[in-house]
Amino acid sequence: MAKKSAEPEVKLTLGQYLASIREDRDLSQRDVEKATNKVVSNAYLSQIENGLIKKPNPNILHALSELYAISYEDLMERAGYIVPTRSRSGGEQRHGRVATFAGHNLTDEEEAELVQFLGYLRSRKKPGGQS
Amino acid sequence: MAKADDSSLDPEELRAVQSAARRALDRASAWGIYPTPTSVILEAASLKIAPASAFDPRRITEYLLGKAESAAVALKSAIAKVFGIYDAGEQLIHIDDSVHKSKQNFLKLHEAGHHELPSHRSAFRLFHDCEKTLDPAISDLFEREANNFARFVLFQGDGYASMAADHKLELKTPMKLASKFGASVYASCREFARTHHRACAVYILEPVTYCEKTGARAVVRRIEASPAYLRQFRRPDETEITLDHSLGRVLPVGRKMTRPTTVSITDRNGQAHECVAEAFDTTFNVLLLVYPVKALTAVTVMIRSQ
Repeated sequence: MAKKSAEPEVKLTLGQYLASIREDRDLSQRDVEKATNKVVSNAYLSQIENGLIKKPNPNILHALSELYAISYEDLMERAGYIVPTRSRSGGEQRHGRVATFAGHNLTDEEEAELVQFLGYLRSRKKPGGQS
Repeated sequence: MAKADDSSLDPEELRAVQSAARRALDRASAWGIYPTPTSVILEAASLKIAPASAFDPRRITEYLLGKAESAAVALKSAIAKVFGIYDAGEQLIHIDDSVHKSKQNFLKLHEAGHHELPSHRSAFRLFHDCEKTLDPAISDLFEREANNFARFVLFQGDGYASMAADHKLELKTPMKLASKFGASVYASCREFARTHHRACAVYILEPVTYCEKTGARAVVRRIEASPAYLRQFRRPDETEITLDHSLGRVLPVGRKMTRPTTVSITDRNGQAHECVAEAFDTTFNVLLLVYPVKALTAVTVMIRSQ
C-alpha cells in the first residue's frame, strides 16, 4: 500500500505509526538495532516502516513495544494479529485465546468455557477464594 | 490426511525461538544433562505445574455443578481435545497426566515455550478478560514456535544429532535415543530424520488397516527427511502406503517390526537407488525408516552448526 499523506492519525499504517514513534523517541533505525541487541535489524525495521513487511513477527513487535514503551497489544492489533473473537468463523481454525497443546482445534464456545474454567481454578487457589 | 505442518519456521523466527531456548538451558545449567531436567527448566522459569490440574475430573465436576448442560458439554469436549494448558496469568502449567510420561516432557516444554517467548506470554495474558483472540494464522505460528522451543530444549540444540552420528543408521538408534533424551519414540524418530547428516527419511504412518481392493494400507501422518535425503531425492509426499508402493513390503502386518528390507527409491534424476527400509509398530502409529544403501559407506564431513 502506498503512503497516504495528511491522513488523520487513526489511519496510520503499522509502518507509519512505528516510524513516527521512533522519530518521536529520537532514535535512528541503527539505534533501534543496537538497543534491541540486533533482535530488530535496521534493514528489517526499514522494511516494516516502508510498508514492505506488513506483518512482522510478533517477537519483533514485542521488542519494539518494550523499547518505545508503547502497547504490545496495540501493535498486535495494528498488524491484524489480535481480532475480536466473533470475527472468526467456524471451528476449523486454530483457537487463539488460551495457550494449549491440542489434538484438535477448539470451537469458540469450547474455548470460552475453558477460559472461564481456568478463571474458576485461579479464584479457588487464591487465599481469599472459597476452598 | 497428513497432519498439518507443526514445526516449520522461517530463519528469523527460528533464531528468536532458539535464543529463548538457549537461555532456558543456560539458566537451568542443563546443557549436557540427559534427559533434559524438565523440572529444573520450569523452576528456573518460575513456572509451576498445577497441583490440582484442569484435567482433574473432580475439579471439573465441582465447577460444573449448577452450570447449564451446554456449558458442561463444551467444557468437557474442550478438555478432551487438549493435553496441556499454559495459564499466563498464573505462571501455571496444566498437564493431562493420562498421556504417556515421555510425551509429558514435551508438553511441559511446549507450554514453557509459550511462557519463555515474551511475545506469547504478553499476548495470552490479554485474553483472560476480553473477547479478543489471536488471529488463527498467528496462533498457528505460536504453536509452531512453542514446538520448536520444546524440541530445542529436549534435544539440546544439536546434542541429539551429534549423538545419533555416533550410532548406526538404523531404526533402533532413535528408539534407544528416545529414552536417553526423555522423549517419545515418535519425537525421537522425527528428530533423527530431521537432523541426520546422512540421507534418510522417516515415515510416520497411522496404524495399518485393510481395504478389500488394496489389502493392507497405512495412511501417512507425517514424513521427516534429512537435508541430504531432500537433496538426493525430494520431499516425499505420499498420502498413504499401500502394498503396491515400493515401501508396501515393509508394512509390519501382523508383527511388531519389519527387518531391514531392500527397496528401490527413484531420485530427482529419475535414477533408481537401492535403499533399505525397516518399520516398527508402536500401536499408536507405524514408524518407517528408509535410507539409501550408499549412504552407509559414504564419507561425510560434519560441520557443527553452533
